[in-house]
Amino acid sequence: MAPPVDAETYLRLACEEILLSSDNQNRQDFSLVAAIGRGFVASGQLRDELVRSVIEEYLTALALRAHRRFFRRAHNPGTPRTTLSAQRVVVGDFEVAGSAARLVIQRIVFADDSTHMDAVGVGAPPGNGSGSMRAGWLLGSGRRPTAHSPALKFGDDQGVSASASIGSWGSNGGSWHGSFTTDVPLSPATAWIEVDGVRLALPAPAPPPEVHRETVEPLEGLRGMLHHEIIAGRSRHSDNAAPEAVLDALAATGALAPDDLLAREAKDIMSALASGRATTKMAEPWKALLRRFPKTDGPVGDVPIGAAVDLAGCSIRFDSLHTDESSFSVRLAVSPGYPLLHHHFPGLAIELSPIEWWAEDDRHNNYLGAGDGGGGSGDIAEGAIAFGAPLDPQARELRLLPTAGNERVVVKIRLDGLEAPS
Amino acid sequence: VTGSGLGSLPPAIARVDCGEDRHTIRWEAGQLVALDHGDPDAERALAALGGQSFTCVDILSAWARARHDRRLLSALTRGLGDPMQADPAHFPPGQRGNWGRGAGSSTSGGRTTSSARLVASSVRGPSLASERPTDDEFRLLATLGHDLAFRMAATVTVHLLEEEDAPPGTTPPRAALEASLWGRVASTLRTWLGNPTLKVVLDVIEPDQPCAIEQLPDHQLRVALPLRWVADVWARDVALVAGRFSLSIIDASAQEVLLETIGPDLGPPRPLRIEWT
Repeated sequence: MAPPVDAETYLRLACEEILLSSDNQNRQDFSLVAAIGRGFVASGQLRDELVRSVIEEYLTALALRAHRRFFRRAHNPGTPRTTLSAQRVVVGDFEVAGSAARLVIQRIVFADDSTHMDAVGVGAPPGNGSGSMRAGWLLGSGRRPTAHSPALKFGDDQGVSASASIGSWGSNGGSWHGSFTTDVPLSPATAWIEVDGVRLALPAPAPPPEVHRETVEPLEGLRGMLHHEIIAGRSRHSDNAAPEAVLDALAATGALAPDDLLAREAKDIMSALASGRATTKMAEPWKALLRRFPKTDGPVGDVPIGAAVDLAGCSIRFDSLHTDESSFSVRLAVSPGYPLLHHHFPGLAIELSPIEWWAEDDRHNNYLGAGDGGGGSGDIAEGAIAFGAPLDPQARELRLLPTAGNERVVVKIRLDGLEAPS
Repeated sequence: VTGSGLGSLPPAIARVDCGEDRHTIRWEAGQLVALDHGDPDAERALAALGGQSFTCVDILSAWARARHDRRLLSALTRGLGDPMQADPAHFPPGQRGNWGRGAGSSTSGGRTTSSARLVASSVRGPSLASERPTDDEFRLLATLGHDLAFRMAATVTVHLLEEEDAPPGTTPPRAALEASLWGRVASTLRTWLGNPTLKVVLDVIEPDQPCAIEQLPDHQLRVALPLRWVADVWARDVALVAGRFSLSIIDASAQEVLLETIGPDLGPPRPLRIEWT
């Protein structure tokens, strides 16, 4: 058996291998090195500052070779934070009929500072008709609206008038989807809104979800670190090689024997997550997490949430839940945006995202989510947390459990009005 | 390896754009010299008064800060298979502002042609040497060209080897030296054998132990070399000579070097003499 390698040497050699790689994708994949570094810190082999300095050193070296600057962290501690709010959320298909186009508003978030709307549309190409439906510019061709595109006009039953131009958007064939944010907030108490003169009746406001905070006992040390790596890896687009890389590094440096109980447990969890099948001796929360994996019987529909919470220095606004036969997701906004944007830059992030997106239902099932799409800035990011298993059709309540360190927030969502899968 | 070891390495030069002119920077025995500049204090005062930046002065200031910094080993090239292509726009200006237009090509064996010269050690102001080099300073040094990069790596290596017993509270340089050796050996072997994904296993040996390369299963190579190989062999740019890999220096002078080399068949080592004319 080879003698143990010094941990700093192992870390530096991993950096050298990436630096010398002719494959640019490999060069960008610094996530394994960062994970190995976290493993050495968790096992007490290296100080956190030393790991950071080595990684910073090699990121500079990479930048000298790659015609580009590398992101050193997903999170800039100086990023401003906006306190998000959600007085009321409405979901549904609210059609705004027009002569030249069809616009459907699918989500309305009444916040303190403005009103946010998600919409989809199909319509005639720009210049084809100029009726009251001003969104006709967006259209079938998928062409981007120009800066001269007229803003949509909004109103409510409290006499508030507002306008909004399209913000982020995308197109697919003849349809488009985009978001609008009004310049002044519409009243959350309104019974209707008007969009370019077309009145849309809204359902009665639902009671806000119950929200409270709980203290949890985090897994500490190497075991906690390995579990975090396994969880965080599920948000990465590629295979999650980080836990294996950490185990290899710990074995090579003599911190962990290959047949150590911790190593075996981590491998069992990874294997179970990959296959979607729990083993009989698997501990919670993993066992309850895997129970729903192979199912395709999830209820179908959307549920408004409308809750804003603080966690790990972030303001989080939960907008709505979407569920279908095989999975479910939660639309949300986060400020600062790094916990949601983290998965865009996994390769170079030294830290893991501080928030884990757990959920559970009243049928003793656990769910684990990961950032899925979305965008925005370091200030505010909007997107979705996707959960890879379907909701239990018998569940009447879902509890979102965003968790950071020894604290978690509980957001209780009533699952009323959902349809059974077809 | 001692200071005299650095003295046995041939000088090297780089040509840089400095102000309106093309100037020469020379490495010799561990020192950088700006051949076209005179009194350092006057040059720096002039630059400060005129709000002007002289690339030569900036390079020497950067070198004064970085010459003993292990991070320079990771910044500098590992060899021909590891080209530098840094875009200055991606490096924020250092504490001392604009670093000018940067560097150019370099040539080995340059000789002083002017009595006016500015030496890096002489631009080390009261706080300069104690400040950490900036990323932009690493960029400035790392893009000075092939030959200077090799000699600068030797300088840092020799310094770190002499300080392997790190002062209390500091991290020993051993890991940085091993990584530097592995990176430069791996890059050289991959270029030599035309295999960019060659797996290289490094055994760091003591200077008095025999150097070796052997084939392992699964197309891996095991290489046994001392840490000083970077300063002794690689920094002379003789790691690959006549299609052979140089394991060690048997003897060296200003005019010639006698190498212990091995062929791509990994057969028995053979001596190879190089003479400079």
